[in-house]
Amino acid sequence: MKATTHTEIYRRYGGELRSRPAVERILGWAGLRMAFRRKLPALILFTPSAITALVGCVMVHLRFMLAERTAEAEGRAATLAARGIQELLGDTAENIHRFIQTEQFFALLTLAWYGSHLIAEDRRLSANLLYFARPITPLRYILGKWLTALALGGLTLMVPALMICWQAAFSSPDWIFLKESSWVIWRTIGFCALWIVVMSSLVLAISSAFQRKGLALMCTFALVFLVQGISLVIVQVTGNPNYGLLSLIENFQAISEWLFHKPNIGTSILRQAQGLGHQPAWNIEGSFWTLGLITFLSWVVLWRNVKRMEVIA
Amino acid sequence: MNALIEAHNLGKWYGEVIGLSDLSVNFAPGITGLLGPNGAGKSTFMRIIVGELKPSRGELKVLDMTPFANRKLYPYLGFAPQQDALYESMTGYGFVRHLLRLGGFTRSDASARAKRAMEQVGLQDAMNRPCKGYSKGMRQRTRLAQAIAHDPELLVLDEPLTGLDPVARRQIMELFRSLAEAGKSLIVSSHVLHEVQSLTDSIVLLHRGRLLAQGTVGDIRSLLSSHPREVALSARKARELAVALVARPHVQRVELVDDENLVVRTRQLDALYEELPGMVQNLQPGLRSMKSSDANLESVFDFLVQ
Repeated sequence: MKATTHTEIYRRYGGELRSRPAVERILGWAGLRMAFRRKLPALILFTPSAITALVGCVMVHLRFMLAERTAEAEGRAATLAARGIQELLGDTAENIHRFIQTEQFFALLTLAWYGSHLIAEDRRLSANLLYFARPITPLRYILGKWLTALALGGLTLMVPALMICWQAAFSSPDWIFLKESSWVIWRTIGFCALWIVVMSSLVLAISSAFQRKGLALMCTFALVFLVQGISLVIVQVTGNPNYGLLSLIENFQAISEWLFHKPNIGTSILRQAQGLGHQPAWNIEGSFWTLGLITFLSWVVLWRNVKRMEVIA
Repeated sequence: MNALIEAHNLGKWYGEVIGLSDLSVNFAPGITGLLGPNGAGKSTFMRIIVGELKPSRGELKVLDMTPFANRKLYPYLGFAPQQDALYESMTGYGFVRHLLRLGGFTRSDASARAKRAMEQVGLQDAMNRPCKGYSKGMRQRTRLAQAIAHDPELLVLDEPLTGLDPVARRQIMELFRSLAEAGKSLIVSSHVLHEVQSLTDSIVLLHRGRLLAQGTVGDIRSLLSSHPREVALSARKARELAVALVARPHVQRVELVDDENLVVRTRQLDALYEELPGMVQNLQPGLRSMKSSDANLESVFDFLVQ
């Protein structure tokens, strides 16, 4: 029997909807939940980061503990031994700087792994068809995805770095770390924020350009490491160290050195090759401009691709 | 206003490729079948209706509103695309709830609605399983669930019956009927005529981005009454059957393919179907199969575009 269809005039929707739902937060949170749903990658990617943070905390704690012991030590030999170990451990700012240098690599791995699928997966599955049939604008969609990337970057770089600062604050006698070296905390936050903003924008832009997560992942690593290699070659060939500005890694390294007034522990191959030692090879403003330009271009690409997603399945 | 959707000279092209061309059509409330072969422009038209695509020319009003990028229209529209669109790691329930939250529903309301929608499409037992373990039919039903979950007035469903097994197909058709009885309007696209025919009489035929025909199935079928149709028969005594068939006035031609297969060309398919059982009873030709090779929608289009 054929179905009969009604002929009445349609009725208006009578339910209640939030006039401005927190789309960014909902998208961001959903992205994080999906990232942590797969346990093995989470374990592999976050464990090194956690271990590095733990080691950093222990080193900072040991340093303050030894400083206290040195002050209390009576024998000359004991004092010398404690000072020797202290020197080996380095001061707190150096420890945090060293930690950030190492942690950047793990943060990049995590951000690239999870971030590369954020938009690419939507493109592959055509989930954008469902998103844009809802009250979601492209900008809010991008912000939602960006929130996930920011959170992932924060979890792997900012949070562990702040844990070490926290440890230093509590281990230092009479809160001396907070009184005398609070600049380390602000600069740590500043550097981590800069790194996360630049890298998450870049990773998202790359993700928006591909339908396959694997391709986006490869492209991210190629852009970071291949460009680093190419800039090294150009510097070698031309003898002009300013070409180092092309490399993301070099720019972050230059900024971190400038912020912490400390030479890098693993001094860059580029500078060693140039015999520049720990001196910045270019004006630090150049690095900020370069990173700003990369972020701007990333957002242009991101916006263009997401706008296209709105109209192309 | 009686028309849910009014399109005037609607056109959409992607560079040099024409998606829709000069389409003027009205959709009345109720279930409407949007039919056409692959590449006819059904999906393009549906995406224009839900406001995801901007028409290149012409005008479209959906529920009296211009749909393109009109987020105010969302509460009234439910859209199920034919693309997969499901996140593998999310549960079906979680996915529907996630989309409801994005639509502006509160946490508790979204949970209740998602659960109800999953029950409506018959996925209550599997709703807490990740989508990666879902069959094609279950994915299809999850997409339907997200379309109906916010109780929209107009459902735009792109190939909603594709990939469903017969039982699920029947369930979903029943769901469509119940939604229509509850006062909802549905636009269901398909390239299979009989699927849509069992749901509604009202159909819109598209072909190469143009409106080919609109009306009831009967009206459109009557257009085909003078169109000769071919039926392939397979029988043990094909030659004897061919002799009997060729004597019928409505039969134009009988082609004996081999000793057991023949093709009959007739101007009155219904008459052939009425007479064939009697012939089979009298002659006992050992009829094994009967297939109308051009009874599908594609042949209807072929005829209409001639």
